[in-house]
Order: sequence, then structure tokens, then C-alpha cells
Amino acid sequence: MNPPALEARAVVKRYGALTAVDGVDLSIAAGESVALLGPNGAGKTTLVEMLEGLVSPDGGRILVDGLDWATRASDIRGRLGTCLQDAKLPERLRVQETLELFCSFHGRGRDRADELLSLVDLVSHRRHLCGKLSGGQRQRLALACAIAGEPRILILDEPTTGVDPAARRQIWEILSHLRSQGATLLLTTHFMDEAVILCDRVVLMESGRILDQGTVPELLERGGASSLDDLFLRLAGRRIQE
Amino acid sequence: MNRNLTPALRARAVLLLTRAHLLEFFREPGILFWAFGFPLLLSWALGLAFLTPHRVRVTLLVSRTDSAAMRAALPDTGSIALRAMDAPDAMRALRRGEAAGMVGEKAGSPVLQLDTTTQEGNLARLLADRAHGGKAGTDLRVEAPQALAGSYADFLFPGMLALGLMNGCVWGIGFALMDLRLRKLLRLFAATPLSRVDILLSVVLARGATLPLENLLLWGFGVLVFGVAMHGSALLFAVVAASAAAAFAGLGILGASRVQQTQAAYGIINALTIPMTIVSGIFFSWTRFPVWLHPIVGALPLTLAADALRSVSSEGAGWLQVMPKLVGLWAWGIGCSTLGLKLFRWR
Repeated sequence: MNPPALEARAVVKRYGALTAVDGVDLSIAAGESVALLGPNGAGKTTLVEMLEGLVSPDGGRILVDGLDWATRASDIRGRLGTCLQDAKLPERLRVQETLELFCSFHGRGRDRADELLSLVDLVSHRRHLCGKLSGGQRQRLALACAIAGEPRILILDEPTTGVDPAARRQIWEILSHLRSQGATLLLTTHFMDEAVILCDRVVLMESGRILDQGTVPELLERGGASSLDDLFLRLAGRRIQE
Repeated sequence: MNRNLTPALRARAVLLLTRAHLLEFFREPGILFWAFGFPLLLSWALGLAFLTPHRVRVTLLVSRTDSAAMRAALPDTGSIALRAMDAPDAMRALRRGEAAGMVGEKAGSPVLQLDTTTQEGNLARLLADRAHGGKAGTDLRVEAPQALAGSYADFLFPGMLALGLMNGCVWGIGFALMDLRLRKLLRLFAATPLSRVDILLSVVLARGATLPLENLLLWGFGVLVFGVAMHGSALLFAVVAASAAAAFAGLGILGASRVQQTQAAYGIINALTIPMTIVSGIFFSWTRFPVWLHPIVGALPLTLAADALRSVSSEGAGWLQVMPKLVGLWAWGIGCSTLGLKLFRWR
């Protein structure tokens, strides 16, 4: 039996007196697509940073394809693709140069960069400076950089925040294409429709703990909510002001 | 003018906006330091260097064997200071311009070695004659000095080179790393298979690629326009410059290790570079500062770099003479890099 693509076992992370992640267990199977939802300060980013190997847990273990970040970091990095919400790609590099740079990190060449340009529909912008791209184009380029090494696992931190609806749909299409090719996706998002459309399973986090997880219908039934938005607002302890 | 506001309301709005600017100003500790603290600190440092001994005084060097006789021949009237040192050190001090000349004994009489074509040489001769005249009533014999003080350009350009290396590395490496972190690019790169050492190496190599050219241009300008001389080995000079760059690269990495805000990035870079620019003897000799400050100033990497470059270019110093300063620069480089990498944040 194959190990989970991503696994957190009793993971704890503290910042001073604050416990940002408090004994989280999470397992994501290969090929599965999971959304991590929760209000600001729930511990999503810290958990994601630990899964990405950027932060070491104070307790517990993080495994990628059964390999432990603590001992097999270099073997893990080639298997993961990371796309950050507001990373500013090198502004004075051209789109093509940026993609070739990220392809080089994975030992890939210009052919791969050309493939990626087509995939994210930036062929006509290949000579544009990254700093001159629109928000949607920039996010598509960031996604292309994340998949430069054809990773089997993709971690996306709010991949469509700050882009217009048309650009969001373009990104969804790219992510759906990657899913159809067997990629494992973990994404954090504040857009409930994104979670519904792209993900097999939703994980709800609050105060550093996982509150619940399952398919959207399962969560709605257990939470007695009419929609994922409704469930999220309850989780965040907010009320819609009529 | 906004037609919806009466003059009174407009005045109130302007006052509140002014108050808001002031509150933002006073609630930012970094700005407070640069607005109030830094000018005071700068004035204090320059005051220490230039304002304390506010009287005419020249320094003459004397060999250790002649020291007692010369102190008797030129009694300390407060205008002449005699510094006893060995001959090689005296030659270096003369080239550095740390003394107006030398005085020694020949056939039982004091003889001055002065460059009487300079203002300082003539002043020294006048003051020495006055001091000696009070004793014996005769003028002192004057000879040409065995070593001439280098020009100000000879003093300035090695210092400017050291300053360029410091700014090039602390800004070019330290600030570049902070900028990569602030733009989340460091985190993005760190999540790829590229090793973290390679990521840092790329930043250092990028700086290293242009730094020699920048400094060759500066040195070439000094040689062509101001006739700056190179009395020592060009290879040793290059080794000193490379060691200084390594020390400043370490300082840049340490400075960049934790910063997560743009304002803090500028503050740290300025805090690292500006005090050293003032006290490390780039524009004037750091021996002007009070003696109690000398051990601190002398150990700073910019002081070590500027002094080592100067001693090679102006005094023709060799490997052995420069070695203690080179060791000091390596210690800064290794110490700062090691600590910086230990503290380094990738996100």
C-alpha cells in the first residue's frame, strides 16, 4: 500500500506562548485534492509552512510520500511544488527567463519552459517583464513556476486571491488539468466555491486544531449548515449583518 | 479649495491631518532615531575627532635612542608632541601623515627632518625653533625628510575602496537577501530542490561579479586623476580587498538574517554602515578620536580593511605586516557568516 502523499502526525508548533498548531493529524492520499479552510489565525499557514518544510515542528512528524522532512529534506523538495498567494516574482526578469530559471532548479530546460508557457496561456507574454503582468497573469506564472519540476504534490496558498473572476476560472482550469493527471493538491482558500469545485475533501481548522474534515455534503450535514459559506461563518464566529 | 467645507472646518481638518502625520512620525522608533538621535550621534563623533584639542600642536617623531636627549632639547611647551618609535614604524607614520616630521641628534645638536614645502612642515619648524630657542637661543638645522607624507588622495582612495567594498557587500548581499525575503522569493526558492547554500551562494556570486569592476574603476580613477600610488604588491592588495569583501559579506548575511520589514531592513543596513563610515578613518585618520575609543575603532572591519589597504598601497607593507589585519577580517567574515546562517530565516 502506498504511503499518503502528505501526512502530519500529532504536529505541534508554538510561537512563544501561542500554540499556532496544536496536535494536528492530517493525511492526504496520492491523487487526492484537499482544501484547508479556516478563519485568519486558525493555523493554516503554519501547517502549510511545515508541510512545505519551511518551518520545523516543535512536536510530531511531517511526512511527504512517506519520507520525513527531518531526515530526507533534499529527497522531498523535488516532489513538491509550492505556489504562494502574494509572492512577487523577480520583477525585472521576463516571463520566459523566470520560467527557465525555475525549470533549472529541477534540472529542466527550455523545452519545459515552453510547455509551461502554453499550459498557463502566457506564450504571447513570454517577453514581458514579470513586474508588468496583471494579477491574474502573475498568478498563472507563479503556478507555472510551482509545477516546473512536474511535482506529484502541489501546495497552493490562496492561489486565486486578488485575481478577477475570469483569471480565477483560468487558474481553476489549470488546476483541474493537473488533478486529471494525478497530481495531489492541497490548497488554502477563502473562496468556498473554489473548494467545492477543485477539492475531494475539505479540512476545517480553527485555533490550531482540525475541527472537522470530509466531503462538502458530509461537513454540511454534520454542521447543520446550508452552505460552506454558512459553515465558515459559524466557524469564524461571525454573523451576517442584515 | 473644497467648497463644502467652511474655513473653520477646513482648518480643523488640516490640523487633524497634521496631527495624524505627527502621530505617525512619533510612533515610529526608527524615524525618531534618524531624525533626532542620528544627527546628535554624528555631531558627537565628529566633535570627538576634531573639536577636543582646540590648540596649535604638531607631532614630531624621534628614535627611541634619541628620545631622552630630544625631550631635553625640545621641552614640551604644549605645542610640540614628541613620539618615540622604531625607525620602520616612524617611516610608516611619516608616510601616513601622522607626524609633521622627525627630530634626531647629529653631532650633539638636534636636527629636524621636515618637508618645508608644506604648511605643516613650516609650522613644525617654527614651533620647534621656538621651543629650542627658549632653551639655547639658536635655530635648529633642517634636513629633507627620509619619507614624505603621502597626498590626501593616497590616504583617501584606499579608504574609499574599503568603503565601496563595505557598501557593495552590505547593501548588495545583506539588503538583497532582505528584499528576497520580503518579496517571499526566498521562501519560494527554498521550497525548490536547490539547496539553501546554493541560494545564498548565488546572491554572493552576483555581487562578486560586479564588485571587482566597480572597485577597479574607482582605483583607476584615483590613479589617473589624482596620481594615487601603489608602493606594495598588487596581489597582496587584491587579497586584502577580497578578505574585506568576505568580512562585509558575512556582516551583510548577519544583518539580513532575521529582518521581516522594509523599514527595519533600511534601519539595519544604515546602522551597520553609517557609524563605521564616520569612525573608521575613511576621510580622516581615526587616531583623531580619543585614545579610549581606539581599541574599539581599530577592531572594526572597515578600519581593518582601510588600514590594511592603505598600508599596502601607501607604505608598501608586506604579507607579515598585513597579516594581523587579514586575520581580523577573516574572523569577522567567518564569525558573522556562521552566526548569520544559524539565525537565518527563510520565510
